[in-house]
This record gives sequence, structure tokens and C-alpha cells, in this order.
Amino acid sequence: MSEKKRKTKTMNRNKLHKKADRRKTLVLSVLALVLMALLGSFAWYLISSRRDIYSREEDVMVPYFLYLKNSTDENSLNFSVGNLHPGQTISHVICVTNKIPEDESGSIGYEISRESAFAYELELAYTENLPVNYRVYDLKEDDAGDVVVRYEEGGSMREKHFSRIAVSAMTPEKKDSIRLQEVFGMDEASLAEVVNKGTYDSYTTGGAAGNDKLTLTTSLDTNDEVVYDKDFYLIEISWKDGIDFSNYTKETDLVEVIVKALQPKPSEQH
Amino acid sequence: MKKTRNNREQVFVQNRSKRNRIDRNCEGTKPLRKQLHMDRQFLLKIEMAVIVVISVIAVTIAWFRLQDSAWGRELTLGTLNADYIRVSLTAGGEDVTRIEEGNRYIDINMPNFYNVEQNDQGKTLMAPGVSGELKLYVTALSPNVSSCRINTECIPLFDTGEEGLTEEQRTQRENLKKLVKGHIQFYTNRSYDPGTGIYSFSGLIEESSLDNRYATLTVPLVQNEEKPVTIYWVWFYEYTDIPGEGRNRTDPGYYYDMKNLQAYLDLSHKTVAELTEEERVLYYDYGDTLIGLNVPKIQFHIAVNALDDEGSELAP
Repeated sequence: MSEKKRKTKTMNRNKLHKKADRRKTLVLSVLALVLMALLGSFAWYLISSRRDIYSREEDVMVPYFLYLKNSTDENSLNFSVGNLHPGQTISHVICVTNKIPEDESGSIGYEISRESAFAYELELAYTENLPVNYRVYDLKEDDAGDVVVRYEEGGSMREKHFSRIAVSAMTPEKKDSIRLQEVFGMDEASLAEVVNKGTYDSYTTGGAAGNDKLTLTTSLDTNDEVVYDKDFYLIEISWKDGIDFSNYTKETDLVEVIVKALQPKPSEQH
Repeated sequence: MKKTRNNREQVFVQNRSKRNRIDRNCEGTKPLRKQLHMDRQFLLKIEMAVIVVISVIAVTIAWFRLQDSAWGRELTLGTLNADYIRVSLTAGGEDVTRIEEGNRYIDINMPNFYNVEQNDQGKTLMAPGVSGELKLYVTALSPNVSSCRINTECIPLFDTGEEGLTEEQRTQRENLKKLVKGHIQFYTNRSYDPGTGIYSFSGLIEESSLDNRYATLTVPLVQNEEKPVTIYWVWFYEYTDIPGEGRNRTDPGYYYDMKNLQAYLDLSHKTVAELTEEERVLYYDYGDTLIGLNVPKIQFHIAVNALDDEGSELAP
């Protein structure tokens, strides 16, 4: 190879090397710029004028829903006593539940979708014209039970059986003073002037020993469907012993069945 | 053998296809060796570009991960760590953003209440009538910070996301959010009457005009002086329990089934402005019921923004 060609070759190689060097420098410069921009962004995000703070997620209580239903636990309770003859006992089976009755669904009834539990109070309010006993028994559904309710369904008569959870009747708590003040808005002294103001028997516990809180719950089954709760009670009404019925042939008493959730205004525990 | 012109041309033609593969700008005169050298450089450039892209991605990912890593929290970069404000959950505590994941939630300080359901841990659930307090400790770190704006928000949380909801369902959710905002309110003062056992609240934290999701409070600050801030929250039991200023929040117009409600409550059709106090009491109770039925969880959110002496937020 001639000297001239060798020199030309060397010059061209040097040119190529210089070009390669410039390109490498360019790439390294770009890389350095990118890293600086990242570092700057990192620094920028470290400087903050705002703080966001969150609490943990707090569960919300499901509202209380109570319904009084008849013994078939489908429709609303239709409670009536009728004529009470000497020696007769009139019995009614009622159902307390948190599931809306079928004859009320479609209105503004509420659907519960979560688990819940709440205590409630069953109350009988009645005037005292007549010397009558009101006894309440805690019941459970029992095909072999001695408490029988007959009802019509689909054009034929059917039976439903219950048994008493406890042998003796539930023990009420008398709340006359408190309830009368709530109803009439009077002080205790003024209440004495009210004629036939009635009395209030309040039941908050039941069960075999009589000390289980009356409670209604909702739970979720394996398909996440809500399972409602229902409690049955037997109300027996009879004349007291040793009375003269001739004094009461045309007398009338009023009796109301009331059920309410024990939800007074929350008060802080100290 | 000395190559003649024709001989060179023949060589050129014979190697043309090969050159075309490696030299797309075929000039027909560059030797193959140079072509290969330049293409190696081209490949080198591509490799460098790929390395840069991977590095950028890796660093970005690393940056995001640093936010939650203990190492990232301990990392100080000297002049780069120039926050305007520090917010702690305890007196003298570290900034809330640098707290371990499990402990960075603010306590709502709700005591146990009678007559409200409790969960399995014995803790009272959220229900009408309960209340509590939120405690923060705010420190201005820069002389540019004159005050801070504290925005409070009560967020209803649902079991499902927004996806797949109908327009009506979306509207119902928006109304539920408004209901929650109206029924759970924030105040600066609370007093307790031991005789009645009742709390009363004053100093409603007003809504921000900038964003009506929030109730907002402005607290003056001095650099490097920690300022304790206590905000009282309450879910009023009855409409009549709400101080007058807070009643405006409970607009019955938020209820999404007004017609059914009016029929159920046996109320004549009225505009919101025409409602009597007794009717508003009923609407409020119904609102509580709607919240309890449709909102399984609630979360409190507080945003603290550093402000300059003109009341503007300080930008990063």
C-alpha cells in the first residue's frame, strides 16, 4: 500500500474515531441530563406543603327495625281480644321480627344488607277497668309443641305448633310512672287526675331462666344473603280469681302490644 | 492483479446485495469494513438507549417504592429535605407521612357509648348520637408559612366500586355523600354538662368555598412552634340537637326517594323551604336510616395545607 493511501486510511480511521467519540459524549451527556432531571424531580416531590391524614375505616351500625307480625310471621299483627267470658282464657301468638311483613313490603320498607344485633323491649299497655291477668310466655317453634295456632292458607286450614321455653310466664317490669309521663307529659302528681290512665308491663328478658336479653339479629348465610330473626310470644288473657262478673258485663279494656328497640340516645360510658 | 475499472465495477455489482443489507444508504463506494464499523456503532447507540430507558424506569419505580420503605423515610438529602410543614399525630411526634404504615391513621377518639351496638372487639360502632375528637400537632418548618388550612371530610365507603353503577345509583351515592356530610359535622368547641350528661358543640367548621366537600379551619402558625389542634366531630342524634348554624347542612333535598318518603311520613308535598321543624325532624331521622342502611363504613380525612401570609397555598 502506498504511503499516500496509508495516510488517507489513517486519516479516515481517525475521523471515524472522533465521530464515535463525539457520539459517545453525546449519549453520556443525555444520560447525565436524564439522571439530573430524575434527581431534581425526586427532590421536588420531597418538598410538600400538604399533608393528608386518614382515620381507619369505621363500621356503621345498621338501624333497628322492628315489626310485629302474627303467628305465621308473614303479615302484620292483627291483635284483638274480643269477648272474655268467665273461666275463659284468650291466647294470642305474636311474632317480633326485623324482617318487613309481606303486606308492608313495596312501601318504604327497609332492606338490611349487613349483620346486626340489638336488644328490644316488648310491652303491654292496658287500662285497668277489668280485673284481668295478662301473662306473656316466651315461645319457640316446635312441631310437637302444645301451643297450637290454626290459620288459613291457600284455601285450607293449617296448624303451627309452639312450645313454651319456660314453664312460668315472663316477669314484667312495671314502668307506669316513666311511661305515663312520656305519654301525657305531666308530672307524677298531676297524673293522679287522669282517669283510666293504664299500666305498662315491660319485658326485656326471657329464655329458659328468664334472664336472656330479648335480642334480634341479622346474619349472612353462605351466599351472603341476609338471614332475619324472629321471636314468638304467647299472650294469655284471663279473669282474675274471685270476682263478681256481674259488675263487668259491659266493661271494656284497651290493650296494646308495643315493641321497641332499646335505643335511647347514646350516652358515653364513664 | 491490478483491478481495472471494469473489474472494480464487477466487484461492486457482485457485492451489491450484500452491501444493501448492511448499508441502506448505499452509495456504492464505501468499503464493507467501514459499513460494519458504523453499524456496530449504531447497535451500540441502541444498546445505550435501551440501558437509559431501563434505568429511567427502574429509578422511577425505586422512587415510588422509597416512599413506603423504612430506608426511604430515614433518607435525608440535606437541602433537598425542605418541607414547609410537619403534621404529627402525637405531641413532638414525627411527620405523619414518615410513620410506619400501620400507625399512620389518626384516632377518632370515640369513647364507648351505651345504647349503641359494639363490634367483636367491644368497640362502639358509628351511629347517631356518637361523637369524638381528632387531634393533630402542626409545626411550620419554614418562615414562609404563616398559617395552615385544615380541611376535614367524612367519607362514606361502599362495598362496591363505581364501575357498573347506573346513573340513578351514582346519583344516590352522591346524595348519600351529602347526607353523611350533613349528619356528621365538625366543630372547634365542645362542652359537657355533667348534670345531663350531654355534650354541646359550637364553632361549626365552615365549608371551604373552594371545595364544598370539605369543612375547613385556618390555624395561625409560628415557625418551629408545634401547635396542637383539636377538632370535634359529632353525628347528631336528633335534628333538634344540631346548633342552628349546622342545620343548614341537613337539607332534606338530598334524600333520593322524596316521594316515597313523603307518602310514608304522610307529609303533604312541600318544598324544602316550607318544611316545619317537626317535619325536618322526621326527615333527619330518615336520613340517619338511609345512612345506616346504605353506608357500611365511614372514614375521616384531614388535609393540612401550609399557607403564606396572604393565605395562599405554598407550592413545592
